[in-house]
Order: sequence, then C-alpha cells, then structure tokens
Amino acid sequence: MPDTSLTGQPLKADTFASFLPNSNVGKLAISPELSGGARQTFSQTTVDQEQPDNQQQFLSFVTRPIPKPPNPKPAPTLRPLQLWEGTIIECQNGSFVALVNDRTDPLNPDELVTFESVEVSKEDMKLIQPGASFYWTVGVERSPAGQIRNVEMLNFRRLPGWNASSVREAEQEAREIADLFASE
Amino acid sequence: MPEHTLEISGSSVVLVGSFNPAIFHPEWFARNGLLPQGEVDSAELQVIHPQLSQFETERFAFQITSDRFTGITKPNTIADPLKDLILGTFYILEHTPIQAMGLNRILHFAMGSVEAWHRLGDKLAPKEPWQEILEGRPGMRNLDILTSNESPKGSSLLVRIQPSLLIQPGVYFEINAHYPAPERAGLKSMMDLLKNQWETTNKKGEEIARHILDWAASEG
Amino acid sequence: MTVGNPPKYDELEISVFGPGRGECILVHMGYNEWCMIDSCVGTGKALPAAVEYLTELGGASLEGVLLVLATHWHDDHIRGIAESLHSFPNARFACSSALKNQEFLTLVQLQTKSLQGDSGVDEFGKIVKILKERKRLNVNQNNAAPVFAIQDRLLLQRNEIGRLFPATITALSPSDVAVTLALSKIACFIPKPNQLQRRITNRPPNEASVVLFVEVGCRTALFGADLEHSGRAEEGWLAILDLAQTRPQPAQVYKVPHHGSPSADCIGVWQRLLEPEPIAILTPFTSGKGLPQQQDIDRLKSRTPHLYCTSERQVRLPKRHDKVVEKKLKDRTRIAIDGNLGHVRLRWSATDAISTPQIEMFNGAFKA
Repeated sequence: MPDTSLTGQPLKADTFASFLPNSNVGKLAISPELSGGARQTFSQTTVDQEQPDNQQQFLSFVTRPIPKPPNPKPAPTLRPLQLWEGTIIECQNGSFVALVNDRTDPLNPDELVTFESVEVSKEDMKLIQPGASFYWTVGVERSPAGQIRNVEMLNFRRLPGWNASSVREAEQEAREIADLFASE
Repeated sequence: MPEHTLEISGSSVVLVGSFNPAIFHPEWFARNGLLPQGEVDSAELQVIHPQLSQFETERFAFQITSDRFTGITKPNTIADPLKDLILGTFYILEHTPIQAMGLNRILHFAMGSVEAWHRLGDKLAPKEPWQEILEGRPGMRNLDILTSNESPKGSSLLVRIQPSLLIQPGVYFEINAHYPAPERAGLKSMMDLLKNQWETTNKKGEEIARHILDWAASEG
Repeated sequence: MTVGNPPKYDELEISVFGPGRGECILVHMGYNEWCMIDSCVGTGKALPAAVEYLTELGGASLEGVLLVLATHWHDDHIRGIAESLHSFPNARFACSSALKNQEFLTLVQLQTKSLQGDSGVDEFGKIVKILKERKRLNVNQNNAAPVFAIQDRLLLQRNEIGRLFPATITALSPSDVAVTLALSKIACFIPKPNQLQRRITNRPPNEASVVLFVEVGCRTALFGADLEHSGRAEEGWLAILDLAQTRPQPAQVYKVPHHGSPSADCIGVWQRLLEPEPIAILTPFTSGKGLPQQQDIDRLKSRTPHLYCTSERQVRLPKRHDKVVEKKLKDRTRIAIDGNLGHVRLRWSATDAISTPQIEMFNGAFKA
C-alpha cells in the first residue's frame, strides 16, 4: 500500500530537509530496496537512528539549521484566531457585502459583512465580483525578529476557470436526465 | 498554567501517482490563476529538474517527484488555500493517474511543564518494563497508532506522536488520513474526497491530539 | 423545541419554519399524510427543519410525507431538500416546470463539478441522484418520477375510500409565459469555458416560482412562495388572478410571498383569493435592508390583524472570546442572521367548519 503520510518513504532520502539546497541531487532517487521491505508496515519508515527527521520540514521553516542559498528569507508566522469563509453577494462603489460563515465556531450565526475594496490586495482586486469567495482571518503575526502584531487578512479563493470538458460532460448528463424525466 | 497549548500547526496533502515534475514551476501556478503573481515572484526555487521539483512560496512548500506530489503549508498559515490549490491544479491536470492520497495534519503542542511532558510519555509507553532490562534512561521516541476506517473502503488513519523538536518541552502529532484511489476515475474520486473531507480531517486531527493530551493529564 | 403530539387525523396542520434566511413549510393533509414545501436548516443543526420536526413528532410521520416541493431554486428555499427527500421514502419530488429544461439541468450538473462547493443548485444535483437511484432500484416507481408544476396542475389528490374528507394540492403558477422568461434567464448562468468558477448568488425575479392552493376538507390555504408582482397580465400574480374566476373558494390561511416585500404585494390577491382577514404567516429575509421592513408589516397588518412572523430579521452579533478578534471587528458593519428555526404552527379541524384554529409559536416566532 502506498504511503501518504508526510514522512513518507525512508526519511533520509525523502524529506524536505534532505532536499535543502546543500543536498546532493543524486541522492534523491528512492531505491526499490529501501522502500520495498518497508511496505510490510503502513508507515514504511525505516528505523531512524537520529532525531525524528520528519519534523525537519517545519524546523527548516522556523529555525533553518541547515545553510540556505543566498538571500534566505525568514518569514513571519501567523497564528490564526478566527476564520470565516465569505461569498460576495453585492458589489457597491468602493466596497462589497459578503455573506460569511464562521469556520472557527460553526454554531455562530452567518453574518452579512461590509468590506472596503482597499482592504483587498491589488492582485485580488479583479476577483471582487458577486459569487467570488474568500477566507477572512484574524490572527496574531510574529515577525522573525519576534515582534507581534494583530492582523486581519482577506485571501480570495483562486480556482481555475471552467474547462471545456466539464461543460461538455454537464451538457451530456443534462440530456440524459431530461430524457429520463421526459419518459415519466 | 495550562497543561498544553497548540503552538505550531500545519497541513499537507500527499498524492501518490504519476507526475511530471518539470511542469510544476511556480510560474505555471500563476499562469493558471492558482497563485498570485506577487507570491510567485518571491518564490524560492530550490530544484526544478525533470525528476524533481521543489520550491517554496510565502505560504506553501512543494515537492514533486515522478510518483509523489507533496504540498505543505508553512507553519501556522491557514490551510484552506492549499486545498484550493490542489483542487485547482488537478482540475487542470485532469488526466493525472492517482493511486492514493494522504491528508496530513501537523501539530506541535507546548506542554505546561516538564512533568506534564514526562507524564504523557509514561502513560503512552510506560517506562517500567524497559527500565528493568535496558541501561540508561529509556524513553518514548515515536509512537504510531494505525486504524482502518469503514468508508471509503481501504482508508485508514495513522496517528504519530513524538517529542517535539521545535518546542521543549513539547509534543509533535502527525495525523495521516490515507485514502486509496479506485482503479477507475481515481483522480476524480480523490479530489471529491479532498473537497468534502478536508475540513473534517483537519478538525479531527486536532480533536485526536487534544483527546490524548487531556487523557494524559487526567488522574489514573 | 417541545413539539407535542402529532396532529389528529382530521386536522389540517401548517407548520412554517423560518430562520433569518430560508423557509420550510409542512402541511398535514389528514391521516398522517404530509407535504413539504421548500426546505431550510437551522445554524448548527444536523438535520433539515422538516426532518427534525417530523422525527420528533414520531408516529411514522416520515413515511407519511407524500410530496416534497421546491417552489424555486434560490438557496434559502432549498437548503437540505435533498436530505429531506432521502428521509421521506414515499415522497415524490415536485418543482417548477421551468426546471425540467435542459439549460437548468446543465447548470445543475455543472455545479456538481464545481470546486467551490456549497451552492443552492447543488441540492438539485443531489435530488437528481436520488431520483436516478430510486428508478434503478425500481422499488416504488411512484416516487422515482418528478412532478413538474405548471399553472392549474393538480399535484396531489387524496380522496380514497375511507377518507372522510379529500385533500388536494394545486399549482397556480408558473404560467407558460413565466416559464419562457425564466428559461431565458437561466441560460445566462451557464458559464462559458474558462470563465472563473463562482457561486451563483444573483437572484433574479422569481417569475417561475410555484404558488400552491391547498384544500384539506373545509380548510384552504394559499402559499405564495417568492412570486413577485410584475404588473404583466400573463405572468406573476395577475396570471393567477385571471384563473381566480374558476376557483371555488378563497383561502383562509396565507403564506405571504417573498418575505412581505412590496414587490410581491398584489391587492387583487387580498380581494379575490383570500377570505377577509385571513391568517397570514411570513418568514423574514436578512439582507442589507432586510425584509420585511416596518412599512411592510404595517401594510400587511392593515389587511389582517392575524399576522405571524417566524423570526426576527436579525439578531445580536455573537461575542467572540478572543479580545484581539473583538477589537478587530469593532468597527466593521456587520449584521448577524438569525439561524434559529422560528416556527409558527397552525392546527385546525378539517371537518368542523365552525371550529377555531389553534396557533402556536416556537423559538422566537411572534405575532406582529
């Protein structure tokens, strides 16, 4: 059975840590011998003599113990406190109204909330249209230097356009259903 | 002082199947409207190679080999955009053969005290039998618990617990929800599961971790 | 909610459920036979309103539902309708004739493939699946076939031997013209290839909405759905009034259309389709301005003193536990939508013409 845990196949060959820039690309191929025997167990992890290597992914994002390429970019981290998902129902001049539902506590009532377009990033501006949906987060951000600030973010959902095959399939299915209903 | 606090969390999606790593350049995601151009412009390319693609953006990191696609959120980034990105990617690459999918939740809890940390380890893996036969100070390093789910057929849940490397004293949980794909329409089936199970799986992962931590903290 | 006992065999019951957005109506036609009109789900509830209520009532009420009708396809009227149909093994599904059209079905099927998820039209996709499965299983062909409502079509009739009184449900709309108009608008919603996937939120006028006239023994009721008054003779309320000459008796109970909005108000309905001072029930709709407005309540109360509303339009905003979150939200314009399932219940003997109705209000429903 293929392994879909994050740690995956034998850790030393296949974790993010081993792919950090000072790794040798040639080590990346996973030999059948390494993975085959471990298929007896679900997790397929070999016995790892060192510290749990699978945590290296996050370690690398937070403390970067392994040398990075030029211009490493430590990033701020966000602790989300509250999340809503919203759908725009009305666009006004310079603002929009969205129906939001509380993803942190679904027992809270839905709300109609007004947002100003200036709160939206330049790149997301073109996404402001009725029917568009977004994630609205309030949280606490910590900078790499340790500074804390309260933040609020709107991230528009980025989904692809309809492909022709979906439309064709839907039309075909609709024809079959219409025939089914017509025969009743 | 609370017995435990969630300090760092993240999610990942692992797909096992057949991929062409060379496609997965950050620009491809921008061209298809799946990532903002700004995020792509500041992306860090680590490897772009016919057998391996690896890069990081502000919010995510990706690693794609010929048989495995992994997308992971940066620590404490909201997870839902990753789900959208995966759904969007494989809506466009609609003919990708997929054999299995894993939805993973990663959680680092700070324990309120060293005593609380030891208490968890002692309850999960009592030291007594080991101290009788091993030298030194034996301690739990990793625990995997695996269970199968009723639906969909063949799916399972793996819970992994380890001491946290990032927080001391702390505990690391990794919860892997594993789904094998059917032979026909494997990709569609996995993407439907991703769309419908993402929120439940993420919440379930945290529920499981907190349940174990609360149990460890309780008397008896 | 303590629902008490099921209605008596010879009692009409009309139960109207309405949170801040959405509505569902259950009609007991006697002999534990029910019809459900539209569907809604309360916030945090696992079951649709009708399923929850009938389950609590007990007495095999779920099996007694014979018809599930969607008056139109706006998501506040059909949330949970598929689950309801699935829970009622003997129910046929009915909807407007406009929805049997291929364009609408294409839209439905396309929405099942949408990555957005969770659009009202999704419910129709689930309904189609249920009906196909019922046909495949071939257990009860009666409930595998949908019924399409068009003006003056009898949707359900119960007058079997042994029944002391008949019960009928008749569609008074949509008219042919309304169907044609609705179809042209539905076509606009079908996306072109490469068009971004969005939820369907536009709410065009509801000319294809299904209005129902229900007779249970000596009791009559008119359910106005969301039909608006366009002023044109061949559609909307004027088309229904045209038929009124042939209607035997006016309605004693009125489900006010379109949340009491002035755009659905037609004085002719009050003059010719309703008894004087009927019992009127309405559900609110929370939006920027919201419905009903105070002037709508005043207008309706000038027509009947017996006006009931299932819930307030909006409720107090929830308090967040986290101070950071509260501070950030402080200056935002927000309206909380009542997710509580307000419920107005009317029970009235279908055989005793001089009896008075019993009206109860639950979960925040009130008399205006």
